[in-house]
Parts: sequence; structure tokens; C-alpha cells
Amino acid sequence: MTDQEIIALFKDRNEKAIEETSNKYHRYCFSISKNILRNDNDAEECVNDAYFRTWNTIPPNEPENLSAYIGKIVRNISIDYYRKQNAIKRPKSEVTVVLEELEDCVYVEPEMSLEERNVILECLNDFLRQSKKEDRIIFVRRYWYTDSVRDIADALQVSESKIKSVLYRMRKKLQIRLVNEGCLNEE
Amino acid sequence: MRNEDLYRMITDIDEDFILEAQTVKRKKGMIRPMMIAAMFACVIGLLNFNPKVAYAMGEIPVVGNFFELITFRTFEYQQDTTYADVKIPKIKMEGLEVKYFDTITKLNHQIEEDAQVYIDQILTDQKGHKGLDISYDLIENDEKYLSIRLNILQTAASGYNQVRYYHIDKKLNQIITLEDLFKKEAPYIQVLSEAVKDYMNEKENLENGTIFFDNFKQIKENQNFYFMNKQTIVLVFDEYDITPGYYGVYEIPVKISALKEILK
Repeated sequence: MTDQEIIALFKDRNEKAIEETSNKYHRYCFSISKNILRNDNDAEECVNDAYFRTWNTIPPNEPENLSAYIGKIVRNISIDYYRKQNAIKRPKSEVTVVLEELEDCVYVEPEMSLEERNVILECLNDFLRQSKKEDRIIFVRRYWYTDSVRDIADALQVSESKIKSVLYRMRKKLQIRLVNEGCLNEE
Repeated sequence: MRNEDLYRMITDIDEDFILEAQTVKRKKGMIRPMMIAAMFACVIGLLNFNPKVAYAMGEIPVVGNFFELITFRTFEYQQDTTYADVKIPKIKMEGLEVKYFDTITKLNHQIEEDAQVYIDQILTDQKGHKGLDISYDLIENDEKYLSIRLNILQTAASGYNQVRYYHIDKKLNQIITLEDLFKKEAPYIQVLSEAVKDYMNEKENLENGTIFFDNFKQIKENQNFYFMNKQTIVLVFDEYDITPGYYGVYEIPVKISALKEILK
């Protein structure tokens, strides 16, 4: 079933919409959530929440691309879940490592206004757009999909050290760009 | 908490990037052309015919889909205050269906001629400090398109970055420029120029917005472009074309969904 057909089911308030979404995107959503939470049951729960949030937001929303739309929802829900769980002692997940990597990249004020966040997001989008395609894919796989360095290296058939060095270079470039464009103050 | 904020913010990056990266996952074992190029990028032979000017024939194993890109010519030059470091690519004929030969020969010539113009320039006018760097990237090599980018950096008092994109439509077996994407007589220059203006307005009005020159009228007939996924055409402007130099080469994305009526 095409995305547009599934979206039409959501708009018709037909519960088959969730079933079809699940048929098409369950694996995809599950892997996004599992990468963040490292736990099958937690990931399942987040994916199911994501289906219901999708149900509650289409309509009024009419996403152009359903996979990106639902991917964003499941990513947000999983990060929330991760935060809640973070209070409890648990093993180091991929997110912990990713967050450590981002530590040396940029400083985002916790109390940042929506406008300020949008400016950073614009910078981030410009930065990605102007990066080389393969570098951009590596960056997005690591920091959006939360893939491990090893998985990215395997998928792209290159060494882990190559991936690490691309990520390091990109974080540095991003940091410089955000500072230069006045999006952030140097820490 | 602060990095979690950044990590969360990344959720909202442009959907094109999310979709682009999707294509990589679950294709373990698939050879990615750019990666292989990067891994094995090495110039094999070097042929000197002049102490000051060195040509080398390089071979870089790249690509899939039978289209391979190799370094056809390396030009290194250093004299007093002038230097050049040029790598010119060509698409390899071996292993390709004969029907593609004409198209590829034509594109290979075009790329070489374009690069040669810069080489001639730097060799004829050597006053002051001057530099020329030309490199290339394989931008796309899917079932439909082969896209190559030539990166040209001319250095004098300051640098001047330019890029040239070259595309082959594999199904049509022809070199394509921007015009070829659109229906005959379609007002694509106007439509795309309006999209560029809208983008500029939007960006200018942001806090710390981008600075654009106010003399932009319309895009060129053969404006550089490339595809990002199947959803976006990215228009590419050389340094100083529409923005001050510190922005470098500037790219403006236009959604294909907004162009449906005029696209072929």
C-alpha cells in the first residue's frame, strides 16, 4: 500500500491505517527505537505509542513522506522514554555514547527559545546540505538513526576508523559553523 | 541534559536527509561507490615529461552499475608563485554497453575541456600569487542517473570556489542539463527563479539570516543542479553569485512536488 493510501485511511478514521502502517514501517520504527533504548519490549511500546500519536495527528497533518513523519515521532517518543529511564540505573546504551560524542560539538542552552532553536536547526540543515553526500549519510545514520559506528561501517563497507574520523571532522566543522554564524557562543 | 537537547533537535532535520540515509540501511554488502572511491583513492602511475609539469595517469576503482569513474589526468604544476593541482575524471568505457560510448565520449570531452580552460588561464597569466585546485566527486550513480561534480578553486588574493555538475540520464542515454528535466516550452527558469526568491526571503528574515546580494533576477538557463533523493532538486550557485564570498558555493533546495506540472 502506498503512503498516500495509508494517509487516506488515517483521514477516513479507518483503523486499518494503523495495521497498514505497522505492516509497512514496523521494522523501520522498531530499529530507530531499539537503537535508542537497547531493549525490545521498551522499543515495542514506543513504536505502538508512535502509531497512536500518528493516528491523533493525521489529520490535521498530511505528511509528504510517511516514513520520515512516523520516524520522527518514534524517535521523539523513544528519547522521552530514555530520559524517564535514565533516572534508573541501567547499562550504557548507544545514546549515552552518542551524547558523549555530541558533548564536544555544540552547547545547546537548555532554556533556549523556540526561535533560537530554529536558528540552530537552520544552521544544521545548511551544514548538512553543503556536506558531501557520503559524510552526510554517515552523520545522519549516527546522530539521527543512532546506529553504532560498527553498523555504519558494515553498511558502507568501510573501516570503523574511517567512520569515526568522518564523524569527528563533521562535529568540528559543525561546531565552527555554529559559532561563526552566531548561532552559539563558544563555550 | 544539554546534549540530549541537541540530539532531540536533530529529530527535526530536513526530511530529505532522513530519507537519503534510509537508503543505506539494510543494504549490507552493497558496495557504495563513494566509499570505495574514498578507500582506494590512489594515483597509480605518474608520467613526467617536464621537470616543472607532471602529468599522471591515475586509476581509481569506483562505482557500480557498470559506470566507473577514474582519474584520467593529473596535472601538477609549481613555478615561482603559481601552482596547480588538478585531477580530471573520466568515465571508463571498458565493461560498458556500446550504446553508451558516444554519450560518454562527449561528456568526457566536455569535462576535460572545461578543466583545460582553467589550466590555460593559470599558465598564461602568472603575475602574482595564483593557485588552481580541481578535484571531483561522484555525486550519484543509481539506476537512472550518473552525476559528477568538478570542484574548482582558484586562488589569488582570496579564493574563488566554483562547481560544475555533469549528468547522464542512463535510460535516455544522454547528457542532461537543467532544461532537459522540463517539458518543452515550460517556463522552468521563471518557476525556479521564483522558488529561489522565496527561499532567499525566508532565509533573510530569520534571526541572523543569510545575506543575499539584491541583484538576483533569475537563474541561468543551465544552472548547476543535482538531485537529492527523488524529492528535491538542489540548485547550486558559485561563490559570489548570490551571496557574499564567505558563504562559499551556495545551494538552494527546491521540492520536486512543487514542480510536478512542468517536469517531464
